[in-house]
Amino acid sequence: MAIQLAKDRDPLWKKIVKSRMLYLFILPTIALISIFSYYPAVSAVYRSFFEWDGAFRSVFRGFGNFKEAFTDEVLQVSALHLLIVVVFHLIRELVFPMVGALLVFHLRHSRAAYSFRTLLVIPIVVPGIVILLIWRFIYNPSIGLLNQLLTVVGLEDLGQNWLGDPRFSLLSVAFIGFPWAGGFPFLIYLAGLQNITVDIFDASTVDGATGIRRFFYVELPLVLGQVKLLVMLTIITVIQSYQNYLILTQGGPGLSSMVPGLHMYYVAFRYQRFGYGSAIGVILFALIFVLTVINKKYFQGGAESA
Amino acid sequence: MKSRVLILSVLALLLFGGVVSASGPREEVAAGPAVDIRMVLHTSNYEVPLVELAEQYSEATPGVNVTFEVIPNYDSTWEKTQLSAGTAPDIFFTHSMVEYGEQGLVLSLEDALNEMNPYTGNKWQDDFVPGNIERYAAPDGTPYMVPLDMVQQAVYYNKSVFDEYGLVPPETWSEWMEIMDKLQAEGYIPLSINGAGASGSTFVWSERVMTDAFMADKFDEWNVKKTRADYPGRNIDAPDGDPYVDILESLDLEEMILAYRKGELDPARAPEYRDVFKFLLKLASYGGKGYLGLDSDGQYEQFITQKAIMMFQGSSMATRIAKDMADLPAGSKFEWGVFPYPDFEKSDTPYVDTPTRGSGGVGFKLALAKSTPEREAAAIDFLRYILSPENASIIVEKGEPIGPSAIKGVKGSAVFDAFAQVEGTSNWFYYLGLDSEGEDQYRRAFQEFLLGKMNLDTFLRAYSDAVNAAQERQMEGIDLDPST
Repeated sequence: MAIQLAKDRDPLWKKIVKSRMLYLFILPTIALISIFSYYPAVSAVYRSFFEWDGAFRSVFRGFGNFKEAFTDEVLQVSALHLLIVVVFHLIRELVFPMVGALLVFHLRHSRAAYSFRTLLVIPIVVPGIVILLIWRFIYNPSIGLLNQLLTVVGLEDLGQNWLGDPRFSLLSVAFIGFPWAGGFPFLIYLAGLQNITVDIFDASTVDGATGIRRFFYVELPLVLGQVKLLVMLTIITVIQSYQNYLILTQGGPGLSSMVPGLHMYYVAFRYQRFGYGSAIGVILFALIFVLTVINKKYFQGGAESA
Repeated sequence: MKSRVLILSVLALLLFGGVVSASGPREEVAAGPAVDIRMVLHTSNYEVPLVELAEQYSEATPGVNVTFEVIPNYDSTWEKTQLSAGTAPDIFFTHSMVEYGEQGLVLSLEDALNEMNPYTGNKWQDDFVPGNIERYAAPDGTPYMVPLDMVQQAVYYNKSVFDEYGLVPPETWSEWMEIMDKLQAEGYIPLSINGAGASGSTFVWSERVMTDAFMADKFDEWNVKKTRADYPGRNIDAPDGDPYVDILESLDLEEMILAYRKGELDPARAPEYRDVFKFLLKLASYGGKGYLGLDSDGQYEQFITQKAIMMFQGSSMATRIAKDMADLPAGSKFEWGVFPYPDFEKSDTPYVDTPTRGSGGVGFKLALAKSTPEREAAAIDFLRYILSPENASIIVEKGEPIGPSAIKGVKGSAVFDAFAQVEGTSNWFYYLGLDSEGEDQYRRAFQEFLLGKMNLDTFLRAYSDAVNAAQERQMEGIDLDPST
């Protein structure tokens, strides 16, 4: 028979009163989150049922905006592009930072490890817009670094109109950040690897698991928690993001680099249809939510060493 | 003798008092409670002189404090939310002044323009280069803005390269194509094209110039309302023979819809459009690799680095070229000039009716948000002050103008002198009532057409569908009866 503490028998209101100072301390945070995070989100869901121009005109449409979204050709095309971009980003976020983390982790010289770790992390502090502008220059078809480099090595014919050719525009933007070995995914993987105890490595060495075998049979299973986390974060980030496409291609040429987030932005801020834009946002939220639940439920990590 | 001296003294005092009251900000505005006036622009072109003038005006006008600020790249969403919240600046630049005016959010300037400007002694409207206020007014003629400056488009060309190959600026389309072929054969990009641009693109302005030249014969028939009674036709020359501004009627949305439904302004049915887009496709062939990914900065870059020899751009580029040319090393400098968009001949297209005209207009359009009578009066007075010729000259000298001043008698920067060659200003019906969504649909289809993924017929049908959908979205309040 469980021993029930006296305080556990108190009603909720009494518990709150007894802990009132704690609640008072947390109240400002809750208030700010409610105003600046939850209210806009709830408002967006509410507005998704209206034809709203953002200022003057608001007409109830019921599920009309959602029906329109499912027949919107631009959204259909951009959904396909999203699938391509998500797969590309998953490969790049899961593989290359892992390679970088493994290389740094296994460096014998601690000073060298520190130096390389620093070099791979420093780009995080560079503002994103600076990186985009640099890559816009790299992709410039006339004087850009990429085409110039191809010319220097005798591959001038491979030079393309990277951002202005519908065959390349989508993945050219997704390619930004190459070689993708650093940044936050690198840090997350490195932290996961550093959490593996030395005993496990010693035991694996005794058992003959070195190099690639060690990675697949020891390291990877023990950082699956980090992998799962990065899968979730990558999917959420990619579905929401559109700024790279907005700045570099505006979704063009044609619709070749249109993604749902950008279409949502244009619908709201260019066409002044905030209600329909909110509906697209609600659909994207639902998608992220479903994928997150699937990821959590069906891809259980190994030892949760995140 | 004494009485004569007395009379002369009184007359002198009256004369002196009149001069003093005309030279500075009017003190009558300051009577009443203190007011803060806020003027906002989205670029810093005129920041230096406007801050200075705002300070001078505030010092000289007790009870009125004017501030000027730059809010970079504000857009229609910002305008709408500010206006609906009642926090809009008193004076701001907008393209949507008619829309806001009809909603009662910005001030009608009809009365103010008909009053005397105390800083010039003229009717305020007469201080402006004629035609600029009328052509941006509402269909019923109500003006909701005053112009700060004007812009024009022309073809910039590298005169040094032209001289090297014995080329002269073309006067006809055929001559222009010959020049393009020659330059292309020599390894240059003949024409730098900002294919990624939206409203400021080479193609949009070219379409405007061409449709104006090819459809002139039908304009008077479309212009059923002739709402601006003082300007009865599109071929009226501007007073003073100023070739920069051509007073003309405009089609409003209802007239455009009627002309579209008749098929005469329908890209899929009007034969002129087939030739327009054949010409645009031809132009695109001279744009060099990657023009579809090029914005205006990239276009400028190609021109200033002499990779491209020509570019069709606005007068604001002239200031930029002049500035950058001064900084370029001696070996990279070149002579440059502008020429007007070449004319079409009957041998090019059977539809050409007139020589090509310019595609410019007003640059910065200043509207006043509705607020209290005191603030409105103070804002109007401040505008009259800064747009008087003396102060408008200061704006030109100390700012980075994008074109000539819109104030009569103000000498613009010398870099714009060459734009005087561009005669007249083409009409606006080219946009066919497209809203932002329609523009995006049109632009995507046009890019597919340029890439060869869509043939001309399919593209013109897609263009027509975008126009139709956009017009349908804006049908509220339109009964398609020109008499009402």
